[in-house]
Amino acid sequence: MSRNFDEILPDDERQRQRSRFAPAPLPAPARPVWNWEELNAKFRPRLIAAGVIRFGLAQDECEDAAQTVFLKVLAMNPRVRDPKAYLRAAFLNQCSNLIEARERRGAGNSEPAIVSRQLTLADSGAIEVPVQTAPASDRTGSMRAVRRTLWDRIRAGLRLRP
Amino acid sequence: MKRDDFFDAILEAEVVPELPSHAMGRTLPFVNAKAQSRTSVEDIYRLSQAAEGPAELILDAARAGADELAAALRALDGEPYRGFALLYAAQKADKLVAEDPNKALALAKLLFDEAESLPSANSLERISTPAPRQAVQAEAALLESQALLQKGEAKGAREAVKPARGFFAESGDLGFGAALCDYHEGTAATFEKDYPEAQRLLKRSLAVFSEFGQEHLAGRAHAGLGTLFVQTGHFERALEYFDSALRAFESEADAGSKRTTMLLNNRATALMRLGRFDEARATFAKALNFGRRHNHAAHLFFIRTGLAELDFRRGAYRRALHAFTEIVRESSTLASKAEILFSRLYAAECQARIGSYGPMAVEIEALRRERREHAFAPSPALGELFMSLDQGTIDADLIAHVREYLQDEENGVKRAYRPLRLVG
Repeated sequence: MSRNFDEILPDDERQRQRSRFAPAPLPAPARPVWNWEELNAKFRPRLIAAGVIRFGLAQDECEDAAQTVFLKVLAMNPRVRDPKAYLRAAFLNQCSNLIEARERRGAGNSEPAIVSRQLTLADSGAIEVPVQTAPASDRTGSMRAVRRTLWDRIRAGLRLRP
Repeated sequence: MKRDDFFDAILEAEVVPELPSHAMGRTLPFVNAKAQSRTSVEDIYRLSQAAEGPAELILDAARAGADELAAALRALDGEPYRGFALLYAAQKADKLVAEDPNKALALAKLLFDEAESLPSANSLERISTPAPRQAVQAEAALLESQALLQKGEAKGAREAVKPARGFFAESGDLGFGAALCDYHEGTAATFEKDYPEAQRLLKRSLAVFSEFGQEHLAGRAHAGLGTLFVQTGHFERALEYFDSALRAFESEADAGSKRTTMLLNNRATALMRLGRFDEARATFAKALNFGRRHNHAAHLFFIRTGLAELDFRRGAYRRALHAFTEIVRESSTLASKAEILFSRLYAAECQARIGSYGPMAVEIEALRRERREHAFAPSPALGELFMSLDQGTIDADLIAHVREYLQDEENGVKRAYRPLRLVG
């Protein structure tokens, strides 16, 4: 039998013969497929809630932070095997940066607990209203009290996993 | 990973906690214009998914040739996922580095240039740009570093990491990109024998990879530290790192990768140097089987060299002689000049220990002829070896003395050579 498979064989047969003698293709190293639905629909809202409740950040800030860390994890897709762990660590770092920035701003502000926030309406210009937020530093006694209260509320109101 | 029980409890809650009203900030009760202008993560995810196939096509084209690669890159023009495709191609190209570092290097340079036309990272905004120019250029620089290291250019590999650090920083890196830079620079520093800096960089990358929960990357950093400690003679410490790396690789997709073959080989080397010969042989055998099963032919050379050294250390000189003679005869393209020199020295020492002085002299003469081809040319150790051959005073102990000195020199241990006669 001829070993020159390109000689007279029709295309399909040629392919078949080639595949008989070619080294078996190795399976590519499996990269775990992300469960995007779970990450986006379940994990993202929890990250935002954790940023608000744990660090006293505004929801808007946490949504921006979540958006940023989701873009970052997508940019590292081929490298990241455990996206939840990545998102958690990256989001914690983002929160930490926001708190530091707030503390820096707060250092020059005599009333850090009341922050003047600018509301934006689509067509109505800017409105300045004072919005009560949690104190900037978690080292203060009042912040600890807020955290204790929130934690008690979470424990009482939610069924936490064991 | 940093612990924060309070934070984690919220992440693991079965229902999303209701947020305190003040947390809504400026978003209530009005229309949140910023949120509406924010690009949907879902859309960006779809773009990234669309880029996976084209990124693989870029790699296939890079393997095929310059024309194919140029065509693959032009096919991306105007596509919304172009940035992600370039980014992913750079990240996935580590396979190409092992196959053909020159093609990987060419790809790195093209990706870097292609990225020039991508939008920049918007550092002034609170939300970063998906797949910005700087992220692609950072990854291209890391790819260049890996390719240079594979070619044996450790200094160039370290230099290539420097711009990558800058690009990652400009792209709004959250620490992970910097850790990748630390890992690649640390690996190159190990080969450059800058051990203190290599250790510092690899440990720093290990801390960040662990913090971000990427066990497979932490495993690579562990493996890098293990290799470093083998080269500095700290074999017990090396074993600890190798075992951690193996645990990480076993649970990850790296279980079938070339890294595992080399990791097993390096672990066996550490065991051998500790005199744990039976464990070393079993681990070499595992590496050999693993490498054959997964078709890692390129790595089998290093395993065969390790097995030959194991026979030598066990006193099985005839077997070792046969193995080293084969290694020299084949002169694999994978073997460095130094590795061929050591194989010749081992072969000569085996000949001397079994009393075959004629063939021993032939090996030493061959070394003399090849002397100018490697970095040890001016070494006084080789000078004493050749002088002893001419004077007829050469023996196995002198060859061992010269080999050990040169092996130290190869591993970056700096010490003055003391001729054997003075030592004795």
